[in-house]
Amino acid sequence: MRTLSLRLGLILGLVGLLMTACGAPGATTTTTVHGGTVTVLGVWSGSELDSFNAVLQPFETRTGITVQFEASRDQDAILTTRVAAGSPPDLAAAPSPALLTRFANQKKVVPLENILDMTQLRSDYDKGWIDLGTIGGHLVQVFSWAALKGLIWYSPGVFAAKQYTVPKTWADLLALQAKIKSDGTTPWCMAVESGAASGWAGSDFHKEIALSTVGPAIYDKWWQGTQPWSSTEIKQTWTTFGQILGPGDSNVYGGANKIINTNFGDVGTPMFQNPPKCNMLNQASFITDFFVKANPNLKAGTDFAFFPLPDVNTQYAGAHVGAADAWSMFKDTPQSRALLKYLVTPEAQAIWVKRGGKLSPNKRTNLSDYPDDLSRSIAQLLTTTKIFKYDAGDLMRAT
Amino acid sequence: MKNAYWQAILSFIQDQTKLDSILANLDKVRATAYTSS
Repeated sequence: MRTLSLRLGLILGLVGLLMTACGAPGATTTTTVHGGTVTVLGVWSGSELDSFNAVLQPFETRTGITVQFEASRDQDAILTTRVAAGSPPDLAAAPSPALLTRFANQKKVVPLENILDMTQLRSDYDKGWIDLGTIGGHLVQVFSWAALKGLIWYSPGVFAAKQYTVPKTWADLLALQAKIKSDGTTPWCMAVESGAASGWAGSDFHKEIALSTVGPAIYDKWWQGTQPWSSTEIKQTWTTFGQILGPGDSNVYGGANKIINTNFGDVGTPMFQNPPKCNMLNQASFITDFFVKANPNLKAGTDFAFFPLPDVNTQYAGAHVGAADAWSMFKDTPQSRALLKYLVTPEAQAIWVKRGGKLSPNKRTNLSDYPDDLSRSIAQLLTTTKIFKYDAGDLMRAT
Repeated sequence: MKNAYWQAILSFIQDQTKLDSILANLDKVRATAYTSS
């Protein structure tokens, strides 16, 4: 009997391994590996790591797989060394696809089209996500959690008191800027200090303007390096950004000195002073955490809300820039297959979504999974975005 | 390229009248960045 049980256990185990290995229909939601480990290199720490661990908990319980997670912001050096030594992690999660694309171009990552259920994946994800992860005809990256950039934050209370209306068009936005200036304050708060990465926060604003100005084709040529920066089209994106800054940065509180020397996380501080020193700011959804940490009494929806940057060129209406956590497989094992299949499901993505700070690129994730109306509104904007493009800066070649 | 882009943003904020030279410098970086492996 003991031998029979052992044999039965072995057979069931093999069936489990095969179910995972074959990429059968529906395999994105069914993983039955029992035991083993999968190594993951990522960047998350602190509360983000807590959220990722929460995502892993039901997976580990269900599959018996232990996820060995290693966090490092120096992924480039670590992956380069380990890949050269033939000992990469099973999976890597990067905050942008550029690094993993390099390894894909070197054919160091595993094509995923025979591992994931592509019918389900194409149903769950917009084509843009699939295209972004496809290199040389092979799917080599998939995306788990996303963020939407190009959000303009403001105080609904201040807008109501001053009878400012949320701009629907670029002309409306320029008119609002002029109105705010004529009322004696500055339209914009802006802060781009970020140590060695200073400037990125301003580049986020510029990229959103760029996509909306020149459209997706030139935007892609731009980050791919085939569209000159000094071309008429790209120069226009800068002069349009200059319309926001105003002559001599006169549209921005504190001018150039304050913009450059204020940490990006403090960008909202002058907007929430009484009276406010500035009235709008551009930043991705994560900035609300900074708002509330600096001013714990602030309430979403009352004290701060967002509107999408109005279209610069209506030919490219509804164009928005975003970013996402990209995954690639370096070692094809039943355990790494199982984890990757799990991570692209709405079940896995909803766990972090419910905890706040992330959006799900999977269309089957319910809006009701978002923790508040504000995050639901951002998620809805992501799902209704007509032209979604990944952050060009994260895609540009390293120098 | 990305770091040069961020630096260009800082330069543009400091002096918008230097846009042409900022963009010319970015094109120099582009020429290097996209030809190296």
